[in-house]
Amino acid sequence: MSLLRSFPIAALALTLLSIVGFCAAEESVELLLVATTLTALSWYVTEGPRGRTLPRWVSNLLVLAAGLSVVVDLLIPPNDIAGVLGRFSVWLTLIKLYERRTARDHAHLMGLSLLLMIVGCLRTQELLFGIVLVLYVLLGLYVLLLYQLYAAREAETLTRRAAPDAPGLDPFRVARGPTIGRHVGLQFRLLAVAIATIGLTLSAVMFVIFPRTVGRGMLVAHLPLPVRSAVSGYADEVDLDAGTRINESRRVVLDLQITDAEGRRVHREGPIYLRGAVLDRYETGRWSRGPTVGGRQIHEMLAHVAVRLGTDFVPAAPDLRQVYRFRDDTSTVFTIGPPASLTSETPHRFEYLPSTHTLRSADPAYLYGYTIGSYDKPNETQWASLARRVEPAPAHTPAANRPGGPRIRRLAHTLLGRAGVPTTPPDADEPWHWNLLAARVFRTYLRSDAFRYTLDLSDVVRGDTDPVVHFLLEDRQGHCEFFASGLVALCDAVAIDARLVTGYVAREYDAAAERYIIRDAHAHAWTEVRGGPFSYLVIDPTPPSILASLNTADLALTDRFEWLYERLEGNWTSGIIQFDGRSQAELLVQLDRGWSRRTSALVQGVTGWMARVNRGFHLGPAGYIWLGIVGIAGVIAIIAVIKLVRRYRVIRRTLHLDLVPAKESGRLIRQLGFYPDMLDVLRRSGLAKPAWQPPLTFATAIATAQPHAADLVNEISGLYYDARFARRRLRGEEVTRAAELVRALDRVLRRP
Amino acid sequence: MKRRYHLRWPFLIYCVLTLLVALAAMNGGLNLLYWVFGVMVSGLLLSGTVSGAMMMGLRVRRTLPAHGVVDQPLVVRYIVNNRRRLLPVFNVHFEECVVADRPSWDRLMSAARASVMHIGPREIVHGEAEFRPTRRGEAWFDGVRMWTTFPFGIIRKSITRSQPQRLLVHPRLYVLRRKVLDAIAPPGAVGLKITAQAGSGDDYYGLREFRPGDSMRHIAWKRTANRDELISIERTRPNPPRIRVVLDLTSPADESTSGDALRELEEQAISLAASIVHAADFAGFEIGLTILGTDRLPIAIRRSHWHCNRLMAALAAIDLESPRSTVRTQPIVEPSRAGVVVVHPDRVNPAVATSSGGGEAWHFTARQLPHLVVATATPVTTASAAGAPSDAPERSEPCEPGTAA
Repeated sequence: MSLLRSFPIAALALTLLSIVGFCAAEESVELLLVATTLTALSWYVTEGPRGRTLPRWVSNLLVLAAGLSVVVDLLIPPNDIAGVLGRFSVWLTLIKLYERRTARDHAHLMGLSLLLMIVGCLRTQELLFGIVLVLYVLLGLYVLLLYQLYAAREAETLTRRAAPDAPGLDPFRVARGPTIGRHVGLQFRLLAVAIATIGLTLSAVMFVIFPRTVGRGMLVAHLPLPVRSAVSGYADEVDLDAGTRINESRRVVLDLQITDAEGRRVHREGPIYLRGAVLDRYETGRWSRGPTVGGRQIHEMLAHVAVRLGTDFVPAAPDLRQVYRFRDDTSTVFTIGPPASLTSETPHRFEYLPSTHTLRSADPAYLYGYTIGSYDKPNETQWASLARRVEPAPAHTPAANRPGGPRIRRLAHTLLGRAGVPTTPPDADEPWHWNLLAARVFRTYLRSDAFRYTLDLSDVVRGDTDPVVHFLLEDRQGHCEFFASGLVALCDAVAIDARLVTGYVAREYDAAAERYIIRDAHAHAWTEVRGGPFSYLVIDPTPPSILASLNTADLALTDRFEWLYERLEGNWTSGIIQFDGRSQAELLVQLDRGWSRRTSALVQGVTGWMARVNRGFHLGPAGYIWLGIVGIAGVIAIIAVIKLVRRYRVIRRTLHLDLVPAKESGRLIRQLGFYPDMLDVLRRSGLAKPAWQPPLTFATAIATAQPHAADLVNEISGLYYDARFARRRLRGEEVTRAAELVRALDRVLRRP
Repeated sequence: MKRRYHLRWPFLIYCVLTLLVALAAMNGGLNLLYWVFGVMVSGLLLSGTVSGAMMMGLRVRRTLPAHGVVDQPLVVRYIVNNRRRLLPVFNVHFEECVVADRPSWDRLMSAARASVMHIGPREIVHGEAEFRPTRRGEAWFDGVRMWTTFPFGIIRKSITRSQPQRLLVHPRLYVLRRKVLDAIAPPGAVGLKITAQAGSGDDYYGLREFRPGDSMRHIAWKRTANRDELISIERTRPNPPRIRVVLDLTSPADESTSGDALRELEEQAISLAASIVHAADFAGFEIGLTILGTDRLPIAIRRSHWHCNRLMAALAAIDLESPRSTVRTQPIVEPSRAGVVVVHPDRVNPAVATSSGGGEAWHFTARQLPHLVVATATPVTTASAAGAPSDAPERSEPCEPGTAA
């Protein structure tokens, strides 16, 4: 059977896939080359024309050597238990591939391959490994199904070989193939596809509903698990230790239309910074919002009604109008510069923080879009108005947690000295100009060749060093969050008030729609340095060439492939890897909202239809009662029809009326319903009629088993014979009598 | 019908592995492991539901052969019907359950299993289980257990359906030496004998009027041409050699032989009698059977396939545990012209030997079995039969007629 013959090669492919997956997780090209070459070679060596296998003693020796290598690996720090286990599994797999393989050995190999993939899951969560894992699961399902057949066939063959008159021993005995029906290959593959589909669907459901907050870190003290992962998109917190890679998802998050005071569309060549969250609290590699200073404003918005933010007195009307349309649910309200007015498209509740000039949605309802009015270049008075004249507090990071320290202070002083800028403000009361000057010096340093922008930090070994210190003084490579954090740290080292801001950079302009398209990959972090009593200015230390590359209109062909992969990786990261408890809650809200919307739409539709009908027939208020009665009657009629059809089919099947002419068949169905009813009564009493038994023989058998019911069964069977085989048309009273007999039989059989 | 899920080692190992994956996923918050955990749980659920759905659509019917023979393959066929419209069934095995209240099949043979690799929707296939009986007797079959571990080998789902059936296992058959049958055939002229009666033989017997049902090939056309009616040719009836096999199961004369050895000798005697019956039937003899020591009536001398089976069934159904009479109540000497061969378990019973007509009967004992059968025949496995008996003749020939102990 070709299906069974395909098993060894499918099992080898599964093993090979698991080795590739593990090597991808380990990022070990050497191991990948060696292991895959040996795996491919094993097929030729063991299954080729000569078919040689390793002797048992050689394979035992090799296993011993692999075990020794495990011991050595464990003795050499760092103790990478998962990696050692994975490499040991790879060597075991390779040794077993060169051994003689029975069904049991194939099972061992499949177990080892599963172990390799699980270890791979512990090592990485990257897209490439994810693809291999999905392929492994699909192929594994198929191979596992095939293995059941293969193992059963092999067991049967061994049993037959062990018999004294086995085909090899008895010349008159021929070997038999497996017992199979028709189209076995096709049906097997269809079943495999069905099982895979159902299995993957169930696993996706399990993945979504499994609680994410349970048991986090319970074994971490005993089992440190190094995991590489990638992150993407905007976040209102920055964790410099969270992701070792940042990928660029091309998912569209929102679009933005900017108009000036005259209503003309605005399209700027440079980057436009959309402020999302202002993070002024730093703690061990993590930026977050500090405590609110100067209170907050809650605005209950009506649809399309503008609300002014800040103080009531605003020196001038906003000269920029920003219209945002969201493609995804978010609680953050993005703005260009400090927002001066807000208009929502739907009734909504917003929260305004004057100290940071940021807006947030304070409503669980979906935020579809809003319009922000702002000043293109706000002056100090406007800043003060929007800040409600509350002077911003310095950064809220405790001194002990600041990433600065003497080394960074020395660096800052060196940089300022090299640029000819004093290390302290000339006028302590008016340091704003010096603030900006010093910050620009730091920005120039960060944009120099000493630093390298990269999204992949997977090979960076940081140890216990603070990530910002490590970035500024040792490694000097990172992405925008590191650059912005580094600038804040340098500013902080010379007492300049600076804060980290996350949001998006708008670069991609759709000229046809006259809108900016904002994607996940446009998420960015930059720095705002205090340039006045109330004002902050954007100082972005990230190299400008990086921001320019965010516009993907001029991609080369190879870049497009890379772009495609990164897009996939972005979706993988945002949809799979970063799926957490919050995502579950959001999904639940969306589902709930979706169901509510559909249900309410359905109810409204039905109500509207009833109202239209009511109006059409001029029934008045009582019309709804009539419609309700009609509806109930309709439901009852449908149920009755279903029951009648089912009864019709039962009678037809019981009386074997397939070959009876339609007219005769109809008569029999109308008259002989009592006989299936009798069989049903008897079946419920444990006296089911065998399919092969004629009715009279069955009646005789009933007479033996239940003598007190024999008369009733005989009489009913007699009537049945008269109508079915003697073709006598039963009279109405006879049919009624038969139905009564069935009821009597039911009573007799129920009697204890 | 009994349904059952068997949770065995693979299930436990799988559950432990799934639990470990779940722990690792929760510990590290690793979403890939959460998904792998979901896949493993799905596998568990699917394993139960798919196997259950497949098995519930199966109907099985056992077909037994007419009889079995000791040491020869006994093929039991299972007619399996998959009644599902869409769902095929893979890798189903069929086993027999042990019968509790009747003589179960497992007394006579070891268990065997039939496997069917695939049954398509609405298809019927036949599976075969090859039993190998080691003892003769009556075997009852009842429950057919069908089980599968498909799709993943984690859970074993079984369904047992009751189908009571009975089967007789005939005694072990040996290949007799050629001279044994020649010797016990009744003496007479060389060649096939015929009777003076019309029958179905080949030789010409006479002519008669055509009767409806006569074959066209039997019409005597030359005679018919001279008359106005059809004339048929009658043939003679052949008269093959006739023998009566007498199995002496009255108490053995040698009281020192007892227990299992005695039972074994009796079994060998039954096998020897069956072998003689089988060989005689094969050689075209008419055969009769008398079993002494039981209440079984003698079976008349006849010749046909069914008659031979009847004799074999009588030998197969002998219950050695039932009480036996020590007094011979049935006549041994055949009134018609037939050779008589008496088979004794241990030693020749003098009473039987005397009543059998002196020198007209042949007497064999089970201890002489190695000398009566061809060496290449199925070996005698018991210790008592393997050793050369002290009273066995040295020549590889049957004993002389009327040999007494």
